[in-house]
Amino acid sequence: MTPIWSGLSIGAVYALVAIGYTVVYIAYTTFNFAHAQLMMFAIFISYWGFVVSDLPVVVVFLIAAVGVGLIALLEEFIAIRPVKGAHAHLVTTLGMATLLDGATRLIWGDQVLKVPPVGSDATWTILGGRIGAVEVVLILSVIAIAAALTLYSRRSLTGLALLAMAEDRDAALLRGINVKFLALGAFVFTGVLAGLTGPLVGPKTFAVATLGAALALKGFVAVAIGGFGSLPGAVIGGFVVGLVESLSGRWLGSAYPTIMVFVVLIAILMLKPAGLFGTTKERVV
Amino acid sequence: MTGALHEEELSGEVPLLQVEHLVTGYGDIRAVWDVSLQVWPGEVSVLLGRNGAGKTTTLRAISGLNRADAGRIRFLGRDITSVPAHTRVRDGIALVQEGKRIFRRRTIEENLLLGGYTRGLGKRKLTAELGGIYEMFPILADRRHITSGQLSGGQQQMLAIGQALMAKPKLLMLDEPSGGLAPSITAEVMAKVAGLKETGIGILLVEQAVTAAMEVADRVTVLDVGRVLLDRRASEIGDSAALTDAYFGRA
Repeated sequence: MTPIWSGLSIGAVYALVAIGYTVVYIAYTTFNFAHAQLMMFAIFISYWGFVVSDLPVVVVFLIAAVGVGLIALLEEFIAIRPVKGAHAHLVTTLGMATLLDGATRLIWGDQVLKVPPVGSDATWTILGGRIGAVEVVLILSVIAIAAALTLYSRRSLTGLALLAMAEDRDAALLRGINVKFLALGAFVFTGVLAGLTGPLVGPKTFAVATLGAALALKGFVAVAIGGFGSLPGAVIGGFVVGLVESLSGRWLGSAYPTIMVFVVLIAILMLKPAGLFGTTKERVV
Repeated sequence: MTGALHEEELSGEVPLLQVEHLVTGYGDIRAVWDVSLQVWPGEVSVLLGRNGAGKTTTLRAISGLNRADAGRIRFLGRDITSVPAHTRVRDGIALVQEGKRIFRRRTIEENLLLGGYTRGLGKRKLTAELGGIYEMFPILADRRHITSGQLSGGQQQMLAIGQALMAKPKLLMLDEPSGGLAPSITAEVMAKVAGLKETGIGILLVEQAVTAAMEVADRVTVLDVGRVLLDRRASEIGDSAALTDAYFGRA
């Protein structure tokens, strides 16, 4: 059971990255390939807050949320706004990712830094498997965040406007939706969310400058498995990637996790090309 | 070429919409070279012309989707040429695009609520207003929780019009509402359009179905290659010969 808990908790991290990709995809029909780096930055901020500066928990969360939110705001203005189309954004957001990777190395160096857990560092035995309190909080938070976002997007008028915008930007504009402003709000929100969840993720992943690239890949696979634009899909996709990684590492050996993740990805895309929760084409006439 | 003055023009009142020497297009490609037209409250102005005449582009420029490279667009006398598209909707300009561009993945009810988004009323108040739309289009009421991509073409067109009306527009622009619809459905849509006149809304209608459009028209503007060929009150076009001539470029 321990590999399952471990798979679910690392899967929760991938799911968080996938949620970030998905919200930006809904708002812009494009990907922010620097999102994993935003989360990495939040993890380093929490290392700095907890270990270097010994700040209170609330203050660390606040600094991470505001700090990473501001970086996201900056990214929107320099990497998203000036160019149009997913292809152009692929280049500019990857550029932003490289920039953030470099900045992380400059500020914190190359070594692996341990981030202390928020609250209890207890370990429990549940259903015969061992899991840390931090990991339980992480898994439950991810499910709660996805559920809240899904509910918000379906039930609130602003959420509906975001979904409408994802479907047809011109048509949304013609209904009086300020698409640029709403999209900017969604983008900054993903930064704030990365900031708020970074301190929860840090104890699981450690703070290391290569973390962004690793999370970006797995997060993207999670989105592909779950289906582009689907929040429940992002979470399920994240858990699938985490579980496959953890279980294949346990049963097949340490060379297999990444290979098996892609084997599962290809198998799912062969059966469901739009991903598990991707939308199929509707009637046009 | 230009028709007689509208009686309200003589009395000094301003038209709902006044487009003056509009020049617009898509980036470097110019589709509209010089278009002027008017829409008055409670009237239907029909915009006719062959494919590529610049009808859709004119509507897009009035709604703010396309930038005006030159010319003026006045709404209720106010110059709105550089006002952003989403603000124009709030001011009272609604465009129903060609091809029934509703949000197909959303339900009928969600589409209608989104139509009223611009009024900033909140979901509960908007939901209370849906009754008026359902009364006008009863077919939508029965299927309100159905994903709108599953509707037939005619139903989608009615939803698109209902969605635009949720914004309580003063000017409603319809681009080819009969496109792809059976003649009986076209007649039904046109009857709804004629009914809307009574509420005081001004309507700018682009239509290929000339006969159907002429039945509801108060004013007719014919475009060809981005320029105005003919602009008259419908009552002045006694038989359709003048119209046919203009339409086929013999004006």
